Amino acid sequence: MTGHNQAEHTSAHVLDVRGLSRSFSVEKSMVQSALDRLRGVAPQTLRALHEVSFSIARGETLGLLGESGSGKSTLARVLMGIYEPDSGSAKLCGREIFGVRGSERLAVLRNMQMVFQDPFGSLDPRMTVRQIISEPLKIHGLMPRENVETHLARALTDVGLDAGALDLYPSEFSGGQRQRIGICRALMLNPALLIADEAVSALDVSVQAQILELLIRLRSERNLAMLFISHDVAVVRQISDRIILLYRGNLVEELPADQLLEDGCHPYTRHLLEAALFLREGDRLPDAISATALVETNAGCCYRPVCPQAGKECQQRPLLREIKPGHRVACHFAGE
Amino acid sequence: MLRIDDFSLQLKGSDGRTLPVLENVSLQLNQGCCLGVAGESGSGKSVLAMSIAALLPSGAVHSRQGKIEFEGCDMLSARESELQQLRGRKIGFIFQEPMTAMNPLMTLYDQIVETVYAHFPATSRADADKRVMQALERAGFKEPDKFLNSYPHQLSGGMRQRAMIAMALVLEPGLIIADEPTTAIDAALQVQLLARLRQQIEQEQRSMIFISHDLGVIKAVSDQLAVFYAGCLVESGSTRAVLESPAHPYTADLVAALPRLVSERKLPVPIAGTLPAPDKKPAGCVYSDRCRYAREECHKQRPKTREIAPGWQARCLFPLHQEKC
Repeated sequence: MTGHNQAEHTSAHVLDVRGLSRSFSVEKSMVQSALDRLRGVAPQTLRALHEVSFSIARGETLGLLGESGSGKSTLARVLMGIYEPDSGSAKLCGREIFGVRGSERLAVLRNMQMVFQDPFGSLDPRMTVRQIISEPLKIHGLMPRENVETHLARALTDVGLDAGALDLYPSEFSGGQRQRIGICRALMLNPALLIADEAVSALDVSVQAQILELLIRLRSERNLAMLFISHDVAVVRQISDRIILLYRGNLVEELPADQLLEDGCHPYTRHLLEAALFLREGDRLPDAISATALVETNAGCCYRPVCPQAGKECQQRPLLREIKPGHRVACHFAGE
Repeated sequence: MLRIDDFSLQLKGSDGRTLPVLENVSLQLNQGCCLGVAGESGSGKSVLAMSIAALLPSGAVHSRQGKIEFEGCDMLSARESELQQLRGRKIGFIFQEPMTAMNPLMTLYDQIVETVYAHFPATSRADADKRVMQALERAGFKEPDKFLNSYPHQLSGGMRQRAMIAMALVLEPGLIIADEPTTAIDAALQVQLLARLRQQIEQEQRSMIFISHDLGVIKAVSDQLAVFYAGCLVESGSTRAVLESPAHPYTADLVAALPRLVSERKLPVPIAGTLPAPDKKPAGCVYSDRCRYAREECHKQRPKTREIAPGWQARCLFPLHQEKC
C-alpha cells in the first residue's frame, strides 16, 4: 500500500462501529396508513439494525454471517452512506464517517470501497473496463497525469485479468471475470477496508474458489482489512479471522473464526451451524426448525420467539458479554 | 422407470451453428430413488432436465440421437398429445425461479388447480379443492387456506418455493424433476424443503431428479449422483461412494473447490481455467485442457465411459482409482 492513505490513520482499528441503529417504516397501503393515523395507531417500524457495535483491525477480515432479513446488507449500506443511520457512530481510520458532507466525506470514504454481489448488475454495460476502473480515480481527482495506461494495465493484471481487456465491455466476460473487474474497481483507490457483500454467492463453486483465492492474496499483499458479508457459513469460516453473527438486526455472537464450529454457542449460531452441516456435509437432518417468527419483539431477546431454550430471563434483552477472550455472546444462558 | 440411452442433443446456435450441448449421456433412475445431477452453469444439466420432460422448444433443437424412455414411453418420438398426458400428471417439474415460473396474475389456488383441470376437466369443485389443500400441506404449508387467494408477490420467497413444490405434487407424479429448487433461499428453509422432498421419495416412493451446482446439497438429498461437465456425463454412481473417492479428476476438483465445514480449516482449491463453450470443446476428453493429470492420449479423442465398479462409471482414460493401485 502506498502513500497518503496509510498516513492518515494511526489508530489500531480501520473501522470502529458503535451502537449503530437503523429502522425502516413498514410499507402499507395509502388507505391503511390513513386509517391508522385516524385511529392513532403508531406506524409500524422494522428494526433493521439494533445497537450494533464491532471493530475491524488493520489487515483483518471480519466475517458477517446472517440470513436474509438479518440486516447484513443494511449494515453495508449504512456504512457506505446509502442509508443514514438513526443513531450510532462509525470511525474509519480514526475519522467519523456519519454527519460529514461534501469533499470531507469523499476524503473519508476513499478508504472504504465495496464489492457487490451481482457481477452482472454491478457493472454498467455501456462502459468499457477502462472507464469502469478509472471512474473512482476521476471522482476523487486521483487520475495519474502520466503513465495512465501502465497504471490501469497493472491494476487489471493484479486481479488476474489480461491488460488487453481494457477496451472490452462487461458483456464480453464471464461471471468470475466480471467479479474480478468489480474487485479491481474497488481497489483503484487503495482503500484500507473492503466491504464484500455476498461477493462470491452468485458464482459456481470452482469460480468461487478462484475469487476467494484472489481476495486472500490481495489482502495479504496490501494489508487490506475486509468486512466479508455472506449467508454461507462455510465460506465465511474459511476466509475470516473473526466472525460476527446478526439476527434480526442484533449482534448475537462474536468469536474467532476457527472456534465457530466448536465454541459457537448462541442458540441461533447452533441452528445455523446444524443447517449448514446438513447442507454441506450431508450430516444428519437437523430437528424441525421453527419458522422464523415474523413478529417484532421490542422487549427481551430478539431470538426469544423461536428459541428452544427461551426462559423467563429472556424477557430482558441480553447484553453482549464476554465469556472467553475474544468471544462475546448475547444470551443469558451462554457459558453455563 | 426412467432410462436414458446414449442420448445426444444439438441445439441451434444464434448464427446458424450447431451447438453440441449433450454428448452420449446414459443414465438410469429407479423408483423411490433420488438422482442428483451436478455440474457448473453451462454444463448441460438443465437442458437434460428439459429433454427428459420434452420441454425444449422444437425450434431450438437441431437434432437428437439416442433414447429417453419413461415408463415405457419413448419421449423422443412421442406425439405432443401423449407428452401432455405425462407432464404434470406423471412428471412434476419444480423450476428454479418461482418469481418467473409463477403467473403473477393468478392466485396460489388458481395456479395449482390449473394442473388438475388440465388433466381432469370433469373434476368437481370439492375434489379439486381437496387436491389443492393436500398438495399445499404436503409441500409444508401450515395453514394453506390462509394463502389460497394470495398472489405470488404477496408470498415470501420460501412460501413461493413451497408453492412450486405444491404445483409439482398436486397430481402425485411418480417422477419429480427439481431444477435448483433451493438455490436462492436461506439455509434453514433449504433444510425444511429438502426434508419435504426427501419425505416424498422415502414415504411415497416417488423418484426425483435433483439438479444443483451445489455438491453439498446433492450429498444431503440424493442416492445416486451424475456429474456433468461441458455436456458430458463424466461420472455417475452412488452419491456417497463417488463423493468419498471420485474417479474422474473433474469430480475430484469439484469436491476440492467446495468450501467445507469439517473441523480442519482448509481453503477451497480453485479449478484453473473456464468451462469451454459448446462449440469450442477440446477434441479429446472435454476436461483435458484443465485436467492436471491429462496425458497425451487424453487430448486425442473422447474417452468412452468405463465401469469403475458395479453401478459406478466414469468417462476417463485414467481414472484416479487406478492411479493409486
